[in-house]
Amino acid sequence: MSRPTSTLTDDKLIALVTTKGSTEHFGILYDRYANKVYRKCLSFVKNEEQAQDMVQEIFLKVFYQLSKFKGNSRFSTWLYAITYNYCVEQYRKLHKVKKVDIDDRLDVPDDDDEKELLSIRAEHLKKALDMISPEDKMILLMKYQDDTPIKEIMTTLEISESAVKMRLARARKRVREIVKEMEAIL
Amino acid sequence: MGNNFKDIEPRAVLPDRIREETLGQLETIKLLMGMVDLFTSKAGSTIGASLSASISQPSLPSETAPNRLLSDPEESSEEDGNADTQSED
Repeated sequence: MSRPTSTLTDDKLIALVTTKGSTEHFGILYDRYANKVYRKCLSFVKNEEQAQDMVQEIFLKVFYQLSKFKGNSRFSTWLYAITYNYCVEQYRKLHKVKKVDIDDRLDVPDDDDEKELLSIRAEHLKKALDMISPEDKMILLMKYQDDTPIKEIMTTLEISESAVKMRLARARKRVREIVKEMEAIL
Repeated sequence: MGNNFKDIEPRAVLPDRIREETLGQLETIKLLMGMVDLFTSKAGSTIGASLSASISQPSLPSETAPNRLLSDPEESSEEDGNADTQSED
């Protein structure tokens, strides 16, 4: 069966879904983003079946929260923020990890180097991301995998610009430390 | 400048059945919510209207039992008693 395709923008589709409750138009949004959402879920839970269930839950959640989307960021950023938050929640349940309050008042680490982080070998980076907290992983993926601007991360996570920068710097530092440990062992 | 974050993103593709299941669930939920809305707004207002009508006009006779609603319960027991007496006569 052929699926409906549309040249409508995300915003127009959202307007149609929220005013008419159109699942057909919601299906177009699903087609645009479901695989991205799935891959993000997979990077947190490592289990295809579980990640597929998570995709369903996320899109049901998105359908009913769509009226809350105010357009302050791109729809994709908002959708991925819901996805990441859900992934973090599921990760915590799965690994029985308690939530830790993040202190954003600390100073930015001195030895912070973005270039060094981006040049870490893929296999080491992947392993290191699995070893840091899910919140740190989330903010790094938002910034470096999704290319989300700092301002949009601020809006979606509802934290200040300095808090975003602080969290990013701390997460980068943590990854670099883990990679250094890995390289020391090898 | 290279960015290995792009390289580590999984390449998996969602099976088609997940789409059908997700949109199917949405349709079902919408249907159920529509039924709930219908019941609470339409049926609710109908019941509400009936109740308020019966409260404001308590002694109006109904078509099915006109005498029962017009009569006072105490009076009706007396009437019953009278009827019994009459029948004894």
